[in-house]
Amino acid sequence: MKNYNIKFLTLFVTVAMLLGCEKDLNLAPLDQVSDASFWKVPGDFEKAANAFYRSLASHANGGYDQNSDITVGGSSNVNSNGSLIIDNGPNWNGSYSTIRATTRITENYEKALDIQSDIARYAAEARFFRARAYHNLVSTFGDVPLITKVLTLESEELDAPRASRADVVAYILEDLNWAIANLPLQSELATNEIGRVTKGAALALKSRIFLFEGTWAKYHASGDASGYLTTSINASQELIGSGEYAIFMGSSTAEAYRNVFLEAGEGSSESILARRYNLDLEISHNTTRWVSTFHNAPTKKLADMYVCTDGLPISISPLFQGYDTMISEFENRDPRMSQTIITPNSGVAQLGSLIDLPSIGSGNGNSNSGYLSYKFFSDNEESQLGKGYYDYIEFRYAEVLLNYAEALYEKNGSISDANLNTSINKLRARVGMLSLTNTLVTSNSLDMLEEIRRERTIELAYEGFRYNDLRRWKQAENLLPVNLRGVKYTGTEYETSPPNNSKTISVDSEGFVIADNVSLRSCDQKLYLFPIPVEQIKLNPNLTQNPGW
Amino acid sequence: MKKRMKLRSISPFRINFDLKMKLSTLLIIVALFQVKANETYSQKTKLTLNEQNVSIERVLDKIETLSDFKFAYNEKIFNYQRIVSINVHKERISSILDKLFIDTNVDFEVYNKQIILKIRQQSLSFLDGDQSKQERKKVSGTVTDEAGIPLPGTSIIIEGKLIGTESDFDGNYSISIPDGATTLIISYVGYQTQKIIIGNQTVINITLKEDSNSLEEVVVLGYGTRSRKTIAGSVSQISGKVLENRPITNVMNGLQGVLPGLTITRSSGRPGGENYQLNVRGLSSLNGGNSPLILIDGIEGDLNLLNPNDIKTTTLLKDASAVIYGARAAGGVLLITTKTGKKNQTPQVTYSTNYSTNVISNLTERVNLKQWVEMDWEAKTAAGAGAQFSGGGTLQEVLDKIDRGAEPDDIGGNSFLFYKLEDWDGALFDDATQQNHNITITGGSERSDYSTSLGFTRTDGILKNAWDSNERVNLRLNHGYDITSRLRLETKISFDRNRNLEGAWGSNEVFNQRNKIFTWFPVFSESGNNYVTQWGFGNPRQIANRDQGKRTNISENLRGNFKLNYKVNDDLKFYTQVGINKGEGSRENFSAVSLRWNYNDTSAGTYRSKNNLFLSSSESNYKNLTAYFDYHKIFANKHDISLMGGASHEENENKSFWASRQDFAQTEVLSLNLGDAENMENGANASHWAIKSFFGRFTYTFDSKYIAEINYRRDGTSVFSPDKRWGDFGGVNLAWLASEEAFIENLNIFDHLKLRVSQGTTGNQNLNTGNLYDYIALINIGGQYPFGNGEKAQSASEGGLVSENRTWENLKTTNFGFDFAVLNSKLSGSFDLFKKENNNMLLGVNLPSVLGGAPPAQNIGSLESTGFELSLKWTDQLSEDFSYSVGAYLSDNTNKLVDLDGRDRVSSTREGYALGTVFGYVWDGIIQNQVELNEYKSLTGIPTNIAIGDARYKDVNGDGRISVYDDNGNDADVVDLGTNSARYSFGVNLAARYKGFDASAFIQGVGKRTVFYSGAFAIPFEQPWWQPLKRFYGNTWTPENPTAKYPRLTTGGTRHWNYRNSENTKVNGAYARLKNITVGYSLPKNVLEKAGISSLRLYLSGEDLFTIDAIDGGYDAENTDGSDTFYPFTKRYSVGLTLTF
Repeated sequence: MKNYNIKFLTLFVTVAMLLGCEKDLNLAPLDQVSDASFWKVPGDFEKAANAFYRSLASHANGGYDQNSDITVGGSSNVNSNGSLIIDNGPNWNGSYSTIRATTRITENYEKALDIQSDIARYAAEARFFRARAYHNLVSTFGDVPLITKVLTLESEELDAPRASRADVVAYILEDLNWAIANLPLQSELATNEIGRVTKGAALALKSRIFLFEGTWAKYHASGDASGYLTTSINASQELIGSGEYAIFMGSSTAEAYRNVFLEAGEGSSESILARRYNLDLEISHNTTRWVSTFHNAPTKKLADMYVCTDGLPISISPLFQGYDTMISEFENRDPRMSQTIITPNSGVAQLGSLIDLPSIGSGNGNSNSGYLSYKFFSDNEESQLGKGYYDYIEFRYAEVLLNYAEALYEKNGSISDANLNTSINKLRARVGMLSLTNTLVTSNSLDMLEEIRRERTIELAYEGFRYNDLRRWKQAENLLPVNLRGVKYTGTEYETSPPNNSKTISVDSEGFVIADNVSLRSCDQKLYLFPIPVEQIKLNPNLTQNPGW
Repeated sequence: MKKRMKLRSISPFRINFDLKMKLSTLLIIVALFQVKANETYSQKTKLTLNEQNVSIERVLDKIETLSDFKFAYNEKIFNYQRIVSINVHKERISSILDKLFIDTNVDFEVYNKQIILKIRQQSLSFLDGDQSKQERKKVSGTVTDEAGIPLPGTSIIIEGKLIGTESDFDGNYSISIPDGATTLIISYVGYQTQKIIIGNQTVINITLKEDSNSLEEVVVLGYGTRSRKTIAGSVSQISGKVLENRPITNVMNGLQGVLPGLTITRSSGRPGGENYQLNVRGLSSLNGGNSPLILIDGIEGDLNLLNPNDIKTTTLLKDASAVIYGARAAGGVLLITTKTGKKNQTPQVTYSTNYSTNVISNLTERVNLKQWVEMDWEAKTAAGAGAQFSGGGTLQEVLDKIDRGAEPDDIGGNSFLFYKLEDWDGALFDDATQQNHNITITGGSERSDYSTSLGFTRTDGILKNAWDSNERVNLRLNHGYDITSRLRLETKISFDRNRNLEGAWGSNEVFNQRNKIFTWFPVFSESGNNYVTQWGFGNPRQIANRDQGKRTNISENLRGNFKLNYKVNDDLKFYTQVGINKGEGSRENFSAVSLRWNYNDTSAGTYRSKNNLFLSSSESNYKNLTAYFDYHKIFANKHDISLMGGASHEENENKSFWASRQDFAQTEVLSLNLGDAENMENGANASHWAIKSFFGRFTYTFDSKYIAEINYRRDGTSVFSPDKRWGDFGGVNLAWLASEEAFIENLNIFDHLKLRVSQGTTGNQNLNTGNLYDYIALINIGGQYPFGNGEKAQSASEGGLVSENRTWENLKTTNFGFDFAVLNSKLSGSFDLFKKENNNMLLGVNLPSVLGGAPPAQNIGSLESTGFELSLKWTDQLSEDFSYSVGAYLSDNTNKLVDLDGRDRVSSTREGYALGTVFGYVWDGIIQNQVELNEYKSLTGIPTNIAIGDARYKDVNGDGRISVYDDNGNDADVVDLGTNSARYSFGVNLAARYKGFDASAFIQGVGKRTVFYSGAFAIPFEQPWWQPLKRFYGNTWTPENPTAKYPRLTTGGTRHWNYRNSENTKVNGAYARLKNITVGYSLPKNVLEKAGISSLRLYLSGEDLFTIDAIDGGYDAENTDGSDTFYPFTKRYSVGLTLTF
């Protein structure tokens, strides 16, 4: 009996003691590395830099620009019609997340002394994306807190006040210059690196940001307009001079422009940096199908901007055929028009079904303006079934050329024919259009700035530039509170032999479709800068709101 | 102290040897008949002996030589050297032993061929009084339970006399009836006590019924048991019987609505994919951990894999009683005990089975072709768009075409308009079958007991020609063995396997498409050979089809549970338990190439151009090592003290691995190596955690009236940083057994009255949702970005900001309750009021976003839940033949986010409101005319294209704008519309028995619940290319129907405005559902005995046959999230039998 007692008491005590051992509770993750053991080899920095590429602009559903005056959707856009309220303002969390993540790379770069030369390019990529994030913030909100290190839960900078726009821009410039110095040229990329940020991409971003800041400073009377514009011009010039990039010429002037964005133009030397899609990895988009729903329809504003083949605007060109038939206005126009807007009855089909007959109205398959969008619409069957693999180009050479021309003119008040030839006329040549010259402008009493802006708008239509352009030109107040109009309805085939019936269509006094009525549109001065999210102001007592909000 | 055991037989297992050998043939049924034959050895065998003046030992030796009988006895208990003489001729062993031990205190038990000699039990000693010499009438019989299993040790007492006996191991008893005695009282722990009038009967067979409400019932608590009467906490327990004889597929299916305070919801009717969610007394935290900790025989387990038939009791610890499980008990604790055999029990075999036909219930109703065309015409016209059928003529012409079933119109581009009604539901669904089989064998000897079972369940889904089924196999062996009189080993070993089949697209996708595609598309193409698709829609019939591929999901679980109980003396016991769960999961998903066809049989591309195979395998290893002692002693007859204490260590490791390839040239042999290596992929995951605990309980009962209990637990976890790792949890339960007080007894009202109050803290550690290393800064590696020519570049990102200060959420539970029984215990019940406070709930700290990441959760929130539970039961036996019972319960709880660290935003988690609160606008009717429209248009925040027939919401704050917030960030026009949580859960149980017939019904329901539908269920033309569901047909505003409930039909932008959350879109989700109704008949014993059967019951049963609710359109009241991809539930019509022999 005693024996049993002792045996089992011993067993019990042994078990109980086993149970008391504390070290069993120190468990490390089994499928994740800790931050402390990371940042040791170049591959770690490369992986960290890879994380930013998904933030590149991707295909939007039917293209961008619905927030401006050149496209219109089924329902009115709050940016375009000026009804934005504070709750629906843009958030800034995403930008500050990028700033934290990029700064983690640059800080660890400083510490990784033994491998620094191998990882400089990844630190440069990080600074490229950080500059892009700060540009998003500054261009949206104006002054913003400038965070230059990785914050902890206790950091004082959490309550940082807004830094001046100039300080933030200076910080951006520092990042970009460092990035440009440490990034490879496009031609230096190994095959498996295609798609990474290059020196060219950083120059393109610099060109874009400083054109924005230069014109903002000029038209909003703040900052060093001339200095910024010079920075932009120099960046554009360096990129153009590098010879790394060229305008995609395609096989014909009738297709070249449209194909830049589709399968045919994939990976062309016009593409500086793109969001990449891939068939094998099943990374695809549904853009072709979205475009074909016409929920992002071109407006008359856009349609009218394309000049005639004589280089003259429709208001003065004798070649303009008017609006009498559905296709008359498409005749004798800059070929980019019919490559951006479907010419009715031109045979555009989706999976065998013709989709080129306008049906005016909101809802799936109808166009609110009567115009049908075409840019980003692929003829490829996979794409039409919803699996598009063509890249979305966020930085393309054409934009840099446009930046260059505009910055030159804004800085100097003039632009030489030679400079027009290295920039805008390259784009015109692609589609077989007459060149823009000072003679053409003066002999027809045109305005060179307006022509440069026109060129920018039609070339970059649907790529998301228009609204910010209107803001930096301080033109939003003039160009947004108007009727967004569509095709001519009264007296045309749309009225007399309509492609579809049962419609209530509102038209203006000239008989054009009103897709969005001016009575519901406005543009208050406060809209030039977006509201700081209310929650952030509540959380940080030092944060002030933008005027008017 | 000399206590030598003298065991006459060598191996204790010998007792069972024959039985085991035969079972091992696996011809179970055959073997069982042999077992039956063996049972009668002691009755058949007759011996002749003539021994004069020899020792008892010699007589026993002689008997062993002459027969197969073996004796076992402890030499200390009697003098086996005593000299006796015996002369018998062909007598049974019992008769011989009777003579041998006459006038001694030696008793004997014959177990099969084993005979155990022992001292006659004290409790029976009063039989040996003077009365035994009087001439008396004798009554004998057998006591069995409802299944016909004999109940040894039943107490049979003559009312009013101090005379009684106990039934023997075969349940037989015999008792002499003194003069004047009229009534027998038969009682057995855990069974209802019966009184029987003796009258002229000499043979009285008694069937005792289990009594779940019995005060003597043994209730399972953490690390121990207690009689119901002396429990101080709020604990519900039900016997496994409630799960028997029901065509249920899963334990949770059977527990739904059975235990007051436990809410079980299911969100799908897919076999094996029901996604049951358990919740005890409402929500405890925002961060999960709201479902109870589930312990099967003391070890954590998975209810999905458990065989319902193996359950003996289910116990729910709701209040501070759960404290003994500390950090993981915030959601309550559900303790499951599995069935064991009984010692000294002859082997019993029970076979039970049922077959069900499962019929789809509550399928959302689709519109027919004409209704579709009318609604589409109306909606598209309103939006200024062309109607889908406008190519087929005017509306009237189209309707006429439908009436005459016109041929399809070719509208170009391989597209057609169809005019014939399609029976999609007929093509998609069919009644399904379900079957359950269970064989259980239980038994026991003097030293050991066993219960072994084999269960099989198969449920087929309602999808036609589809992979849609679930199969579960359960094996269990529970065995207890007394190694010595002090040392007992209990082993519980089970193996569970579940196999689930689904089509390659998933069953939910069939419903997703079925609820959305145009009603009028044909199933098949013109040739009848191909499934039609048009305009990119999926064909649900094709999606369901077997040729699309198959998902096979197998989970296997091997559980070993070993417990060694060591009794130092009657007061002190030690327990050591080791539990191991090894889980294996495997998935094999094959997706075939899937082609699309136009109606004219031309190709419409592919859904999937390459086939692919995905394999995954996962493994989990859980270990639990527990040791504790239990001390119990009564001092001076009044002071009852128990003390329990111990420690445990738990650890768990999960690992998984997956791989896939595409492009298999053939599909006969599906092995990963046969696929194209080009795009192969693979990955792996692993995680682990560990918890250490020390726990203790002290209970003091004074004078059987006042009970005080203190529970304590200290837990340490791997999840928090070393400094914040340990948490202390404790609680006190107090109870007053008022009915034991003389002054209450004198009232003559209460048979039982107990008042309870408790308070304690538990922790919330949800170990199943990740966050296992939150104090270590981690890097997430993942994602793929296609550089180069499809380079699969991984990215690394910060795994979230970490906090070393995080620790347990502490949940304080306060409970007040009472239990009572009145009217001779015919009416009994209990009531509980509770409050749960989580005062350091983990919430993400709200910091400025310039931080650049989500701040880690810290213990800063506060949530409060309150509620009650009421249960009542009435049982009555009107005569020997007829008894009935009615039980009912009602429970409710509400919660409030008391503190959300100042975050006051309109959302489902909002300070000052219940979790899950839905906010919406105030419905102000439909705009009826131009005047109203013009007036309403003066407001801002409304759609610019709002028109007559659209919805109008109130500008509650009068700022001229319809919005969620005003300019200052305060609430503007939204109000609290209620929560999705179930309020006023109730259940009603009805049962009756008349002679061999029994009937029962069980109704379960929810008294109040707010449901908002989503997706296609919520809005007609939610997407213009989704069909409008039937609920909206004729119920939308038109000039002719101005009083319609819903606004006008339109595919324009205002449709979303029209169906914003408001009182008008709110659905009353209250319901009462007849969960089960059963009618059974047990064949009379005298008929069965001839066939060697102890009981046979046949029954008809139905599940979910009938529901009362206020919901139209075929929506199901239990579809609580209102999802439009919902796989509907089924009604089950079942026939079954239970056979014991």
